[in-house]
Amino acid sequence: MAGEIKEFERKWGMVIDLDKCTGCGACVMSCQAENNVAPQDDATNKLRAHTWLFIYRLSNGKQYPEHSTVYLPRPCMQCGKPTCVEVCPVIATEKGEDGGIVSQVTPRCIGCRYCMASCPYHARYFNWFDPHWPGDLAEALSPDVSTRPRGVVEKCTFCHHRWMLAKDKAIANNEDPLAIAESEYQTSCAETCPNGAIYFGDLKNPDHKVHQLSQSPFAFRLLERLGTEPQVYYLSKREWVRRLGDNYLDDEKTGQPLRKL
Amino acid sequence: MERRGFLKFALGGVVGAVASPMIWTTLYDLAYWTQNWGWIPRLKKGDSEYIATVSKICPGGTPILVRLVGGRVIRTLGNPANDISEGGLTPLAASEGQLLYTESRIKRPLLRAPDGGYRVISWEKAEGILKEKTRAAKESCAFISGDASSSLNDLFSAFLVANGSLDYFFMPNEQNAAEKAWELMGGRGRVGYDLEKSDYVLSIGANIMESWGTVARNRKIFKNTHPTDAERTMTLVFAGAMQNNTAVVSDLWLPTLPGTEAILGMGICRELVSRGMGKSLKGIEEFTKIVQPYTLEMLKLECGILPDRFHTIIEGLLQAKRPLVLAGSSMGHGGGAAPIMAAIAANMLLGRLGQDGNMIDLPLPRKCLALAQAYRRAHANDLVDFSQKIAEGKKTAPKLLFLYEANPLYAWPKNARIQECLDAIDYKISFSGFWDETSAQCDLVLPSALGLERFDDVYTPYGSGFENWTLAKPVAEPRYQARPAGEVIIALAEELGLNLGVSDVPSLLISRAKDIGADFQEYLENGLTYRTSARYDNDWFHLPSGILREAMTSKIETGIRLLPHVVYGIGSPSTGIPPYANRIIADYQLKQNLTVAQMNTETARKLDVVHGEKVKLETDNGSIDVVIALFEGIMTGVVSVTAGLGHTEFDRYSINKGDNILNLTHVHIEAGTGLPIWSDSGVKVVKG
Amino acid sequence: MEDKNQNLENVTKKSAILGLGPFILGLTIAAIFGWHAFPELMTKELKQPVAFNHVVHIEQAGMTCEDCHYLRQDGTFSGVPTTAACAECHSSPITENQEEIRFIAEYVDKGVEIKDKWLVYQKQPDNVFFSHAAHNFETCTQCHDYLYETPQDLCNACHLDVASTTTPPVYKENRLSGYSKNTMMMPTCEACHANPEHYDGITRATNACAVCHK
Repeated sequence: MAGEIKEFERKWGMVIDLDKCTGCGACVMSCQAENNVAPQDDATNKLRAHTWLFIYRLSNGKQYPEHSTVYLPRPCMQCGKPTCVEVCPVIATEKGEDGGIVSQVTPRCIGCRYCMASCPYHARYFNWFDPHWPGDLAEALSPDVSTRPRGVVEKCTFCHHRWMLAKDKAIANNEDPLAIAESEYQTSCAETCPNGAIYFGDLKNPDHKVHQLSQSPFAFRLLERLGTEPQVYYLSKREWVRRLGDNYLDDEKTGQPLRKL
Repeated sequence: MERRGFLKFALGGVVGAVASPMIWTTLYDLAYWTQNWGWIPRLKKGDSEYIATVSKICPGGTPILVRLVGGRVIRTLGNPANDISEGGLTPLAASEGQLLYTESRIKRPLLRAPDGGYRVISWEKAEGILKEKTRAAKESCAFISGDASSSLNDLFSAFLVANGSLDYFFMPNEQNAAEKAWELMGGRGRVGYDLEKSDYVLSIGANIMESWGTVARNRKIFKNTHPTDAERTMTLVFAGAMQNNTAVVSDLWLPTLPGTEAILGMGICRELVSRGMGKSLKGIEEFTKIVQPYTLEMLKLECGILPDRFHTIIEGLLQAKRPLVLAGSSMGHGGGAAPIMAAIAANMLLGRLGQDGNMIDLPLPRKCLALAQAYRRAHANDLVDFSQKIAEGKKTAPKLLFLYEANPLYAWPKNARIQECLDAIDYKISFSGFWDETSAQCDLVLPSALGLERFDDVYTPYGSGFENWTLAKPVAEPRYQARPAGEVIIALAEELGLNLGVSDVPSLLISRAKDIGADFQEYLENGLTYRTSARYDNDWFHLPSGILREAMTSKIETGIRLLPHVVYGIGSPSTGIPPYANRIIADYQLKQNLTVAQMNTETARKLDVVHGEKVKLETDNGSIDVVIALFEGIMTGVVSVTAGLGHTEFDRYSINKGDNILNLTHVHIEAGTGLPIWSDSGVKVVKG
Repeated sequence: MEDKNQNLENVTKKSAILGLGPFILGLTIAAIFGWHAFPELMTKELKQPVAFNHVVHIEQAGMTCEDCHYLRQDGTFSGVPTTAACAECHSSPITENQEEIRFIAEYVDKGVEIKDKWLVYQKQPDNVFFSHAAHNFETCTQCHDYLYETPQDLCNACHLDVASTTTPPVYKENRLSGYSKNTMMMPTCEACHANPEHYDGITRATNACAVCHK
């Protein structure tokens, strides 16, 4: 893949402990409330349902009683080398210059959906219809995130508005906006999870929990060998879960780099 | 002007227009125009405010922070300052802000016209009808409450008693069965679960990480005992027929067929007895005889137990310092008392009952109002029994029924005969926030202020490990014409000249606070949970004998078993499916408008069905259309269906979404205790 | 032959001179229309709901800008005061000013929110996040002290100088885009945000999309 991995002073990242996720969906509910995702009358077609954060149910592939299940919440991976950014013809999405959040500027988006085709994680969603808040539901809209019209692509932004607000709060209180505490900027999903399965913070800051967790021997990233360098890490003590994170050949070890042909 | 001159003029015009900014600014403006369509709502700014309170729609009493912008509620968040949840939020509590604005909210008082349609009436008129009907019905009235943990129950119950009736009922919950089991075994108060201090929790059937008891607290305990970067300090074991939300994070999953929770509990007791546990307990000889039939062979046969995992659990229980066995039903209610009695007995054999990290005897709630029914009396009332007797003509139907945030028509199987019972009642009045199935059959429907719009409380919800109290306070004015039902009842009592001994809801809550020693003003301001360490030092517990023996004779299903799966994300009978929740309903739960039935490959092979096939699930009670989905994390011979679907009222997010699993299950009566059971059912899979 | 050629030449010369006339006429009309008439046509002029007098509030009531326009503790900016804030003084008329009496009757007494009705000259669309906290006087004057002598100067860099007005300026709205004529567009933002000196220097005005867009 073309392009270099950009490095920044800060690198916002997420570590999701799959051994603690029960798949309850509280994070998904919170995400929608935080990000003004409009409700859909029917969301059973998961290709058309806007789930910035989607929960997959994974299986170890064995039959009962040897079967094992794990739930995997999937936000946007905020890749180090985002394929979506490279294909966008109008620069409606870019890799943030600080923090490395892959942003999505929906007013600029022309709806060509190249980014959706390029994203290996299905993290992007297209608005086939205008958002609709029947009755008084629009009263519950948050002022922090703009609504998106029909014809544009949207996705998880790591609740970046919360970072901006956290910086402003620091300025208002005469603190250094670049040295905010870990707890001052948390994504909505991370702060909601009752099981504490989602950790969020600066991957480069040794004081942040994610820094140490992302280096755990049980950490892995999705489709790591594609070279997209996601900023979202997963943890599982079970090898079959880590193995499902990528397409390994039968004779390949979990976590083994791609062989050069 | 000649043609050539005109062309030149036109050319000049074009050059002039191009040279002016007209075209370019128009294009620019056009781009901006397309970004802000008039039909897409604009955001409203304002100052943010976060108010700490508690969720009234989540049965687990989840603490919440409500975010308001410019005085308008926009969402709920977890409250990190409250140590009950440490900031966690259940999916149901996460939708509470949005539910203030749903289309299904009842906006004005509605009166049913003779043609069956509803007319909007004024509150004055509604109050007139309330007064007239209550006066006419006198003692012939009943009340169904959909909120088991509120102190307002004392108010409603006192109102009913003042009218001369004791027919006060709760919506289905596990609490009634648990309190019954606790009482039968000598418990003086309420059963409490000291999960915090336990180092080994075996949950038989209870989906403790999703829908059982104080979910947010249970999950906080899991979070703290299962740190990501250190060894776990508690072992969680789940016994149930499916890898549900609890099983996936459990340290061990013990498969057991639906409806066999009691048998498994007895099997565990037998094994503990045979290892010499509980020798000094009173009545151990009798109990040894009772558990004798529940051998490993029988467990293998009846429950489908895997012996090695069973033994691992027994070893685990014996080696743990503070083990806890608890039981519940997959439905979250309707499982009877036998499994819970067996679990209590197991804790006794382990020598832990009443100790730290085990079941403890919490104080019985005292009445806030002298007139109200005592806690145990109110919770012993059985609506199923009441309803069935009325339907059979064995009991005179009351003339008047009050429903408070209760939707019994949806929440019980058909043969509980709620429909016939409702039909037999002359006049039905529903205080409800939402247009639910039962309200749609009431004569007078009154818009009830929701939990974020009224004073209320959560007092030691079922599953708690200590007596606790959280005040719910209004964070916004009631929307539309909603009024707090408590205030309406107080006003009605005054009109009728009944003295309930309370002037308004806050003073009722002040007396509750005073009673348990909380400073009302302090908790009004901080929105936190008050807790006490009150508990009974109980040496009255005794091993169960006759009643348990009888209860164990209850019928066990054979053939294909139906396993209901309750998830909070899909809402509750009184809220319907919250709009946000649509996205968390998985494609293995609902496909377009069809309920999905999950089973493993082996079961599918036996039944000769394939993934994606449309079939019917049938019982004697009824049938529903389903589509098959294969899932290996489920026992052979078990079909799992998600509960909470199949609403016929509420709004577009609830209607026409699958079928209600309660259309399949049926009520039968637990021998000995007389409790209704409906969480288990055999089912036939009919092709084509 | 010669005559004929001569004739043709004359015709060509004549038409060339004649020909410029319509062209220049067309050009002039179009240019005047495009530069002057068209922008007028595209602009809708709106009046503020209340003829608020900044001068009176500052000079006679002794108020400061920050009494109404301040940074909240959470870092967000309170731009237009609420009816409730106005009612702290104007719960009942304190002068005989007709506009004040009308404001109290129509807004304070009826509980109508003035904040929702007030037309913000620099209103940004929902997808823009502008941080008043970040664009503060202390930060900007580290280099641009010659430009901004007082905090008000900095405000006036983007905002209309309303502090010296006795009646609010007319609000001009673009009929097509619905944007205020006085609002800031993206090139203005980029003048600083896309300037590396603002990024690597004393300020941290990164040009990442997420910094200004939400």
